[in-house]
Amino acid sequence: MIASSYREAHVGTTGRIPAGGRVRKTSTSHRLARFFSLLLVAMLCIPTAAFGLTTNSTTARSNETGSGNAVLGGIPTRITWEGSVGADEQITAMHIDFPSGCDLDEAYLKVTALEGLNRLEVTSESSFSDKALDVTFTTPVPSGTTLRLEMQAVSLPAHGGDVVLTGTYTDQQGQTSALQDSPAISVVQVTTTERIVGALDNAEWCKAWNSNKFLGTFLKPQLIVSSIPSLFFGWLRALMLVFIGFPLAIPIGLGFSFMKISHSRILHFIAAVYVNVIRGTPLFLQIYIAFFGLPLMGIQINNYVLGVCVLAINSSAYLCEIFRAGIQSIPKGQFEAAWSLGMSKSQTMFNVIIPQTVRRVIPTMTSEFILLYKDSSLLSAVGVMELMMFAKSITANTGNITPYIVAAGYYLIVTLPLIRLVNKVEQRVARGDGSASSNAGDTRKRRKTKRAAKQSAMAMQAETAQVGLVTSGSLSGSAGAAGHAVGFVAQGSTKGGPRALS
Amino acid sequence: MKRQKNSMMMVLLALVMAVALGALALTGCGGSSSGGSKANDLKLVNSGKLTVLSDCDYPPFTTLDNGHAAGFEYDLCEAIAGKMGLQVNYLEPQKFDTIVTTIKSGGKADIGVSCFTINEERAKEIDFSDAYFDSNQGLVVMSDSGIEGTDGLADKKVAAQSGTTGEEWANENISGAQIVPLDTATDCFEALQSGQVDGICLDLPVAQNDIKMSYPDAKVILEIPTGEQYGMVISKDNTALKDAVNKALGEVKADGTYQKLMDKYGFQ
Repeated sequence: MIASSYREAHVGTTGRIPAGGRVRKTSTSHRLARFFSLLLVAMLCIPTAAFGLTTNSTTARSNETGSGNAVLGGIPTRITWEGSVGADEQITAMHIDFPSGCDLDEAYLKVTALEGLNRLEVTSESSFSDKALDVTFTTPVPSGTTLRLEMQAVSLPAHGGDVVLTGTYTDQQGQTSALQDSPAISVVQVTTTERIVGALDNAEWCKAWNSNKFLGTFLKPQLIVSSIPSLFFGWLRALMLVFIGFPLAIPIGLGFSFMKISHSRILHFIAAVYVNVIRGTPLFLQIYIAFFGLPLMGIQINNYVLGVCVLAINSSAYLCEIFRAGIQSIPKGQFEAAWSLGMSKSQTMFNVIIPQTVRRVIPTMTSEFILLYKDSSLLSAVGVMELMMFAKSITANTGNITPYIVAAGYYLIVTLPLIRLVNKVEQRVARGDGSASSNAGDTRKRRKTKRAAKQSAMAMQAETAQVGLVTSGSLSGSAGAAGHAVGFVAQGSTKGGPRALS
Repeated sequence: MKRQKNSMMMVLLALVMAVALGALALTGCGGSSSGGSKANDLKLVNSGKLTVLSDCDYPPFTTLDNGHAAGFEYDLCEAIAGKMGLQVNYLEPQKFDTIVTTIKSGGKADIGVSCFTINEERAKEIDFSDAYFDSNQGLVVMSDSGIEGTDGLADKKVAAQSGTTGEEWANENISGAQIVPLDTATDCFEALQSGQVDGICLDLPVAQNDIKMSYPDAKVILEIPTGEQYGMVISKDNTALKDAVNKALGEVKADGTYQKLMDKYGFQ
């Protein structure tokens, strides 16, 4: 009786009410009783208001495969109960009850006792029954000891909910008292993924597969199944990083490329320093400088924003060189032609040169995009949660390489189509550059031939258009490459017409 | 297009071959290192040498001193190897969370010594030697942060070294906090200093040492009595080595060398 009022009182004083536990359901009469017992305890026991054994914490290790942090029911996990032995008390035995639905068949116990921070040697005997754990300490656990019971391989109820452990302890006098209710552990229902993993765990073929050291380490089926959904969010974040970072890098890179080709020595110098420093140092180093350096200067930026910025800055230097090369590869004649049409410098640049450059730099830009996408993985080293980071944390927990392989798959999903695209565009550009007739020798299927025919027809059209313009505007320029280009010149001249021609 | 398809086939073929080669190499490693003639039946990677793998970034236990491994664990390994009649060969530092996997797959190093807490999860993959150090966890924040306990860290970021018991503890006990796994303890302190995270959780002796040596503006707000113990990581295939290491460790403890080392590093 006294013990139970102690318990209630303690719950009251700490203010910790186990969620979903029985305390929540207390009626007013219970509350009154609690109040009085509290008063009683306060009056009588203030100097020695101590439990024989106080529950400090009860936690469960997350058993969610992947990067999740939930405690799932129905899958073995480790429960850690921690308590302190009160003053003038010695504990000889403990009994912990588990709620129904727990599976303790495989469970075993590890006991750690500490005085302050020093380990005490405590020998104990323990046994798990269907619903409970019994521990007897061969030597009584002295007062002031922190006692940790690690209950391994305990399966919590599969339907989820809050789990509260109850129990009793026996002190030196052989008196058995009730243990405080543990704080509730919230258990989540098993997910579909976990169910599949569970099925795979028991499958014979899976065991045979994993018994091969190579297959078990690199392609463990359970981890493939669990990694795919948990890496998905990392993948989205990696995509987000580049899909914001790369478009940001384009105007910056373009700006620097203008500076680089400008006649102003100062601008050229600034751009050259920027490009050379960034291209000449590893991205990894830049990430470290940004992530550890800026905050030291008192600049606090969100990790993702900073990650995007670093990627954008890094990529802009490479894009600058790509754009510069692209612009400089446009035949001088185009500048002269635009100039002779009366266009200003900026008109020439934006209406004539850049549109032609875009076509030429798209393959290289795509390659740069692929590089940037892959390099976003470096951000994992500074704690940005992206694809690589997710994979790394699973690997760190499981000691298995499979999550990396799955991550590789996620990278390839994006890079392979892009690589293919680059090849196609390059081929098309190559064909556009005066080799339209070579399509005739191509022994492809009909569909392809048709498309090629269409393309060559278009090329022909462009060429005739160009010839028309060449004669009318008396332009110089290489025949094939200028095909589209002159189209742009024509467009440009109509756009900027009135002022330019007047 | 045809050429491209061919080249893709080639790439596929190359991939398959690479995987097959990898498999061969891995399975090959398992069986080939049994040629240790001198040390009786110890399957050592290099006979006559105890090849040790560590992350060398956890002072005072394991660290680099002018490019050479040093620290409590290094001295302990030397003492143990001395008893076994072997020389210590510390490999290049390797990231902490990859060491267990490396020892498990074998062929590179004999033991992993990098403050590995003996726990069930790791014990499934590898064997542990007897414990050689009692440790605890510590929760560290900046002194001026005003955070007093785990409650103050809810909805904040807490860093821990990836794959450590500190990370595990933080995940299990700091409710509501986002746990950020980083590569090394130094990274954790850097992140704390720079304000990327609000707290870090790591082994108490290391936290105390780091605060004393390099980060005086941080403090331990919670000494977490976990009573964990460090053990050396040895492949399950090499029980002879485990027995030999345990024997040597016992001798080192018995003859006072161990206590001398504890005194040298100021452990009680």
